[in-house]
Amino acid sequence: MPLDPKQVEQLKGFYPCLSMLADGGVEFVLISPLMLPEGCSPASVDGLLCPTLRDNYSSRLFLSALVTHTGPGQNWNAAGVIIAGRKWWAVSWNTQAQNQTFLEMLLSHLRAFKK
Amino acid sequence: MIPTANAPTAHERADEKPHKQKAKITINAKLYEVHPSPASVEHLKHLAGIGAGDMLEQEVHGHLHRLADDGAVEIHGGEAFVSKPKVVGIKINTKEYHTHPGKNSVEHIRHLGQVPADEVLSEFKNGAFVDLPNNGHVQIHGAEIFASHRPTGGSS
Repeated sequence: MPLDPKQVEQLKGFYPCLSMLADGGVEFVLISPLMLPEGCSPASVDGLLCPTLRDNYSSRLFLSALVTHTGPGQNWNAAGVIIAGRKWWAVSWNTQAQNQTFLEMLLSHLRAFKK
Repeated sequence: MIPTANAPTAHERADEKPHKQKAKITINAKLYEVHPSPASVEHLKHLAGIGAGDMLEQEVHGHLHRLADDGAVEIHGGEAFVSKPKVVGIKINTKEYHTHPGKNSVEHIRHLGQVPADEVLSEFKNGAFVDLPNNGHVQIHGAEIFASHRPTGGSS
């Protein structure tokens, strides 16, 4: 199912270069580059937002690299998974919220990497 | 010639030309007389003692039009101007708002954008979202972008 264009447009207000990726019939939002919260290393990666149910999470944020940080999201339960021909990493992070916009999802996921 | 303390300024000299009949305008409801020719906004502000922190607007058919500080306006007589504190545009949760440039309290930005009390306000700065403490301040120049969200989420 195609992602809500209004939500994508809202995200584009912050990330004009974002693009869409599809893998196995699932659509993702590719944010390149995605600046991570202060204290993360590397400070910038590519981000792949899956705004639909995946792996029992209502949404997931995959990163193009494993990030060193001091935030609460330390359980990297997706390591080097291949999506659209690229390796991705993700921490186990449940946004615990319903009806979030894509922007709210992204902000919730980024909290995993904040001190 | 060495200017003296009592010498007229360039603005004053512009209105001293004897060969032209002066036109009457109002600035902040006060009557002024100026020459019917293009007048710089800077001159009009100077004439009415309007400070740099304020902007000038011209009333045209009941609508106010903002005038750029470095702009000019054609004076024929009867023009009406008002001054207001300068404002710049910012975005809060993708909606446009206006606020004064310089130091703004986070409380003011939250109030402006009607950000619910249980949401965190972040400024999108240099490509990253930076959370703003509710008792903090932000420097506004114009075109700043803010977004709020409920700080939900946890490791599972």
